[in-house]
Amino acid sequence: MNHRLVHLHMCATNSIASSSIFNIGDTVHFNPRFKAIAVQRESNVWNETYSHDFEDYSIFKRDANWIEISIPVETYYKHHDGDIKVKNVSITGVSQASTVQFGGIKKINAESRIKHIRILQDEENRTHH
Amino acid sequence: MNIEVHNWGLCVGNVAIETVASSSVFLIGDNEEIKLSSFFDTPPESYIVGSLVPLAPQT
Repeated sequence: MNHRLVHLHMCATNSIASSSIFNIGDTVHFNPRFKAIAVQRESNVWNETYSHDFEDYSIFKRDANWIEISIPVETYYKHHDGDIKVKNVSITGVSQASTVQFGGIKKINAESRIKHIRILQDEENRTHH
Repeated sequence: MNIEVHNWGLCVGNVAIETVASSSVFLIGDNEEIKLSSFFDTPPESYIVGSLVPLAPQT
């Protein structure tokens, strides 16, 4: 895969957080893994007594079933005009093991696992404020 | 299978993005192989209304 030149005129990025990448150029391998437990609890005081571990839930142990590529594919690239021209890009957030890439990426193998938990109070002891 | 790719030019004008999150990719350029897998889990038992019984680990 021959590489191309990137002309990036202007890019405004607000935040790049939690192991994310902002890359102008080429990458060969990109293998992000992301695991999260998102707990939303309705209570008037936050207490740390409830701890959640990744081992508690089976979602983090299951393995992904990747599709096996059976057909051998031969690609031949010919870059006549070898440039990538980008004028303006505005990005608010790049987060949770993600990437913003101007240029080539050969192989991407990404996985993300999110467990959501919602804990609400009972109707009768719901405090109306 | 043989594929021949002729790239004449790649010009991008304006792009505005809110968020790129959870192992995602925003790519302007070439690529050969992308494999994305995502597990998203909101089962009924994780929606709890009532007395806050400490969560027993679900096997």
